[in-house]
Amino acid sequence: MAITFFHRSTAVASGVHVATHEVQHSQTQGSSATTLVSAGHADGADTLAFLFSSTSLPDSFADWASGDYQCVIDCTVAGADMTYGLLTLGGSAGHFARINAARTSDLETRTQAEGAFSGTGLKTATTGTWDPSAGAASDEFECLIAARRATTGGHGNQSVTIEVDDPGASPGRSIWDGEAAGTNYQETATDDVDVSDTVAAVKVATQTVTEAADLTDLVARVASAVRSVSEATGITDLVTVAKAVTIEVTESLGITDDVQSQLLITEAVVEALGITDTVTKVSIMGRSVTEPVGVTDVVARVIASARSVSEAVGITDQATVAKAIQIVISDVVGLTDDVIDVLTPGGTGLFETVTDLVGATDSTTAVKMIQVEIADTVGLTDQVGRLMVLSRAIVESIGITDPVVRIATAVRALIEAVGITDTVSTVFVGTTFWTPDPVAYTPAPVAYTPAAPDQPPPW
Amino acid sequence: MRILYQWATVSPSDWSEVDSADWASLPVRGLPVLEVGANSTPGWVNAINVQGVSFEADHYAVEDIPNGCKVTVWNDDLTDRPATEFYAAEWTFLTLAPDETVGGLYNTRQSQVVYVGSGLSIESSPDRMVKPWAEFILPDSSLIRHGIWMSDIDFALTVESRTPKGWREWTEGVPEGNVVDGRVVG
Repeated sequence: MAITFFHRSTAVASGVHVATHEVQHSQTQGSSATTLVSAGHADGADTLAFLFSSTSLPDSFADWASGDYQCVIDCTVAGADMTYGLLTLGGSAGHFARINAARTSDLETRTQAEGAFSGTGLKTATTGTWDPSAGAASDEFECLIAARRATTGGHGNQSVTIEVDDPGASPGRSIWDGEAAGTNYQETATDDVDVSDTVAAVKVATQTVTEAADLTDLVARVASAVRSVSEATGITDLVTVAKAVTIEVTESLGITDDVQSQLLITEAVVEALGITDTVTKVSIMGRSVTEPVGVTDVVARVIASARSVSEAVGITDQATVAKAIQIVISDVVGLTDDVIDVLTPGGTGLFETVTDLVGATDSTTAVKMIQVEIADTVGLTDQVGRLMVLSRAIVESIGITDPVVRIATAVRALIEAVGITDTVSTVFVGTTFWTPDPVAYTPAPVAYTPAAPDQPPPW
Repeated sequence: MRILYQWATVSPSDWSEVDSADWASLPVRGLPVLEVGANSTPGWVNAINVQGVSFEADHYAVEDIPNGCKVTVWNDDLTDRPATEFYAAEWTFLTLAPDETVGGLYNTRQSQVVYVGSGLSIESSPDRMVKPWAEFILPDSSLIRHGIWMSDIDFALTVESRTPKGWREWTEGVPEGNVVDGRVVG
């Protein structure tokens, strides 16, 4: 597993070297505008221009593994006579390094495998295969960029300017590649057992991570799996973490079907954890998305779950988003006949499971109970509050603000999820449970006496 | 390709812009043999910027090529330096394109050939070839523009008046979907 550290503008003083800019390695990517940092050079001069440190590696990595450590420099402006890189230029020794936590000494260094860079663009410096010696778990990863202006007889200064804090798709960044092989849960776990079935692949991966960590609590096991993905990818935004988990898992397995994506990960996780109780399955899905990323606000948790599903599978149509969530839930618990299993009291599906638990017997409550289950997942106890939260979660997660459209979307989502197409059924949520008054309708007779012709009005 | 240039004038202005195909139509002034310092007449170049790479030299030439341009700069004024320190650089710039080495994201495509006198030491690199000065061939005369030596104070003023322009602002040939606020992203 590799960890990406973005190049940021926050100052981080180093006691190891004196560089023009001593700034931060961060797992958090910039979120707004980029920042330019520049180092000027007179004719023939060289400097230690940019130093990135403060990596906060996980505690378990005292012995960095053999890997290809990298530094991607986004050089936006450069004098034509400038060269730069993580190597020695003139009297300035740039390099990759393992440094102590106090940032007072280099413990081991490595120069880039490439020659010096010139010009502008994204420049990737690599160590090639580098296997640093074992050290302390608190050691940090340092990238030190040297720059030099060739002696050409020019005057004034020429600079190298790099972009940091870039929120875009190709930011300047460093890649620490020091986790030992065998701990990348998706690649190594599935490769080792030659799993080709997609559900089984995810299942094996989840088991590998959680059993290795000796976890027994169900949610803690799921949380561990989610964290391993988010930390590996350096994503910290809450919703994006949940989204990344889904994308990372399903894309790695080549799954493209929208609903199937979220369904698969849920099935795999609950199977991996040996969960057989259907309510627990649904509950695990919601909790596994929100708890690992620290969402505590009730509404925010449901929204995060809904957004993660819809964004991960690329659904933008509002009703389809809500519908997909419902389908995933019912599929997870093994419903095949949507209407019957959801709505029929005494059936074998979600209705029975959920309504038995909460003591509901009427048909209208059946559909509602699906939503109640979600509310339970996030810890709501107030009944009205449960439905309010769900409604808010659906419509807010897909950005609906018009109150009429919000209600309409929620209704559409519910009825489409259970496959109702008949107009009357739609209005009454299922003709099975709607029985018209058997008494024939007979309008009362009304006497009609036309006015006499050609008579003046009585006034 | 888009070329940014700055005239060497006493009241320096920001970058001006010209397409590389139109470079030959810019004002031209002769070698400033007896004149020292900038004045107010355009024609002497102070700097060029292509994809964020800035050039400052005795002489400049820009040639339009398919999907890009070639910029040549050189220092060979004997009044400023001995022949052993003559220096020239020919840079080739192509439009930005997806680069597999950075995950298919848009990146620059630049290369250079440097010609140096025997008294200079320039290292070669993957995108820089170093050759002896004797192999340097002057560009077509219609493309040549000259620079002028300025005092450090005047030169500093010209540098201060330039807005930083980086490689992501060279959007030619990049699909609209990859351009945000005039910058290439993704």
